[in-house]
Amino acid sequence: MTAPISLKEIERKAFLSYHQDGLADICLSLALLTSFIGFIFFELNPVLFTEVLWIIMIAPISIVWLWPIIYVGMKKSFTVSRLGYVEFSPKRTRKTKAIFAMFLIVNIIAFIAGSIALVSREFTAFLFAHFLIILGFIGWLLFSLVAYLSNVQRFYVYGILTAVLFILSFYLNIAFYKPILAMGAVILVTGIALLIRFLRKYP
Amino acid sequence: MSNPNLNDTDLPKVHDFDRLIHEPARLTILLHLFVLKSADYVFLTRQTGLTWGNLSAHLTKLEEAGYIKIEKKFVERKPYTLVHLTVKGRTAFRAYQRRMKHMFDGLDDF
Repeated sequence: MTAPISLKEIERKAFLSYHQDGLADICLSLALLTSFIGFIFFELNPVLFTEVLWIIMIAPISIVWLWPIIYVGMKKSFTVSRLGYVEFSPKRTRKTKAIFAMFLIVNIIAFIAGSIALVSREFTAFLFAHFLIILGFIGWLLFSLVAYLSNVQRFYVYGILTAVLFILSFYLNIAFYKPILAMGAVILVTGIALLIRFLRKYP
Repeated sequence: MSNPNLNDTDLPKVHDFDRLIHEPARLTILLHLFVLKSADYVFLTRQTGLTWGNLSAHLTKLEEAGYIKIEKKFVERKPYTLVHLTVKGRTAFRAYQRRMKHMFDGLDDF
């Protein structure tokens, strides 16, 4: 039997077709990987890599703001040229703005928490003791909110993956950057797979 | 009424349907334009599955009726032919939606 026509579903499909290129996944994962990959080199040879610490650790973190610009550029050359140009409804634009606002709020909260930690020893001790659990929870919350606002279901999976990896790292005493790198690798592979599928579908 | 077997009490309002919207290809186009702010030809062909020529012909009819507006626009120095629904088109689509709903909501099984 034919399903009833749903305007919400039509809008959702149009929006999702624009975001099945995996570019968001690739840029997000590369931002994570380039920011934390330096820790591996540092762990391999602390003496050798202390000299180039700035290049392998600080430089990628300092250029993290470049990824949104790279994302927009890639979107134009990969997606717009294949799928055409579209302006989504104001409601959808508001949801996209809400995602950016959410990241801003998280930044502000992190800044406030960091400031409190500077003056309160108990709070600092609590943060250090539960660092991985807190990161896992924030990661899960962020990914889930992005998934809810954007309707991109795979972000729910990324959220669960984040929580599981960080909680496992907490109980197995694994360094904090390893779950981040593992998560980045999974998201990168997913993004590349989606991009290949997208390019095959729209050559 | 063209069919002598039909009258207003037998099938009320069937003949009042907006035939311009009722055509499946045009209805698909309008459904998409209703939920988007604007889209270019490439996006509409991808979403509706219509060929370039077919889409162009239907868009011309909708534009002639004043339901949509087609305009050339430069977005970051690139030219795009953007299509968007006019107020008249939005009102006509809403009226069509209400009429269809009203008509079939009361239709019982036989």
